[in-house]
Amino acid sequence: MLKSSPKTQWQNNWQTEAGAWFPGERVIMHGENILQSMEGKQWMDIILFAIRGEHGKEDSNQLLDKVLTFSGCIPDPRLWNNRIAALAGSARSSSTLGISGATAVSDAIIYGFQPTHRAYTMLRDLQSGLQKDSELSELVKARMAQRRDKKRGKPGKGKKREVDIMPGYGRPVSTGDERMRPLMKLLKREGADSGAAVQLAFRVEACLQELGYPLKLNMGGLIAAIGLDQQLKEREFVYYLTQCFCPGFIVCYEDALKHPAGSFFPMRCSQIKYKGHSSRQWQKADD
Amino acid sequence: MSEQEETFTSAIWSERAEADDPFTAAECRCAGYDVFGDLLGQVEWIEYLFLLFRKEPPSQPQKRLLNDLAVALAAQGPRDLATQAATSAAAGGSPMAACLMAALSVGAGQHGGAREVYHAVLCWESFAQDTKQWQRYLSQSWPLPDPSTWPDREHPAGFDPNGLACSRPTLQTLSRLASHPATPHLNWLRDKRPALETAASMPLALSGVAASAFFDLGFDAQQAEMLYLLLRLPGAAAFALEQHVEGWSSYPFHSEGLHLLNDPGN
Repeated sequence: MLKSSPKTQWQNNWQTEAGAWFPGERVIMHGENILQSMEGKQWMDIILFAIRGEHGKEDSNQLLDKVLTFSGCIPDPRLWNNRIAALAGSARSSSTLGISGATAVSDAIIYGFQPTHRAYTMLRDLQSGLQKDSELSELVKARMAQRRDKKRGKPGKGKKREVDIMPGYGRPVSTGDERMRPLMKLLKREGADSGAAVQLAFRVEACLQELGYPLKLNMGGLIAAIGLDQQLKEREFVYYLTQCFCPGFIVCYEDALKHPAGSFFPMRCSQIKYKGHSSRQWQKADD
Repeated sequence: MSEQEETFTSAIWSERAEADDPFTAAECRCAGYDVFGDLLGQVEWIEYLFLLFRKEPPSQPQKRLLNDLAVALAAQGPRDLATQAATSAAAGGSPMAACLMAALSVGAGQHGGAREVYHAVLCWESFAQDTKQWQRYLSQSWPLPDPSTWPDREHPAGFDPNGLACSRPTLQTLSRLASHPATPHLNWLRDKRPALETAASMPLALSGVAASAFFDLGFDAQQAEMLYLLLRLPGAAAFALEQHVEGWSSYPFHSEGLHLLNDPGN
């Protein structure tokens, strides 16, 4: 047991190299006066500087910027995170609440941040497995064997839902990913299609097909591979991802705001399927 | 920065530290009551909620009224917009906190949400039981521009722009809450409802009943807004838990419901 509280040394004492505001003078981030050093830079430059703590290479920053242009722009209010923004607009809540609520919801199991993050760690683990002379098909086969483990939670439903064992492959609602072609076109143009992790991601897809699993690489899996090839560390990659869905939220919120209040897919009472206890009366306990 | 120790200021909470650890409380007092040595085991949750917000214990009628209001607000079913936000989060497997954040984000709104209750309590503070002032407010030209980041106020606070008539649960809630003693505004609302609805050209909503009850309980507009957010969370939480297990495939996706009017095609 501690003899004295460690908090004593921290009381009114936050030591940091991350940043500070000097009112009326300057703003420091990661040791730089960003009001000077960020002059003429793009929004993604400061996001990545905040994430990495250092300036990345210009071509890498530009690539990561262009990748996000494709990633989150699905302004369909039926998608589960976009729906929060649309409902917020329909309920005449504020745009900030709608967008921040939708951002929190994007940390989902079947889409969004969780599977994309896990796709990153899976590809990284596969890379290190291959460096130890393992065969890719054996590594993929071993992962897919875990999918049959009945103790493992399913992503789509159930009491202990878990991200799929093969994150970054397959997709709910649809089998294909319409964003893949334009993103690959971009990667080719930028010379980033031959990165080790991107190549590995497609080799995994081929492996899955050979093993009889109809799972195609999806956008999250490809972005995870790009993140690895661009040397983003694990937490840095997650920070980068949190930026990706905002355009869709804005479109969905604003669209709902232009529609009559409460008009976003109103549901009839009969649309509730009840499967509980039959009608009964409350028995008041004796005092 | 001054060397003098900075402080929180609270009329709600005080603490006495352990003798050997200034960072751990040995005794916590809420509005003067010893929370863990006196209140715990004796106070009911609803009384403690009232105490936290008002810093005085509720009278028995206040306790019963707030309890009934809390029951009425706890769950509005899965079709409710704030609850849908929570279940939409759950369908995708989002964290529990995200489900509640989603419910709060949507349930905060000016259409059936907490911001509407806020504005309705401001009306009670301004108009009290003055029928003419209420009618003037209700029958004016809508929307009212909102200078803040909130959307414009499209309809009178506490009324339902999409309703045909005052819903049965709203009437049942109003009747029940107005049956409590010391509820002059709820009683006035019950008596004047038809005239007010005529002036508004729309029926009274549950948010309007809630605002009146909060006002009779002595809560101000901000306290009412906060309590309305809080008291609606149990249902959102319960439905979110249920939807987490049900998963995304048994959740409405409105597959055929979206119609893009300017689809340029491939």
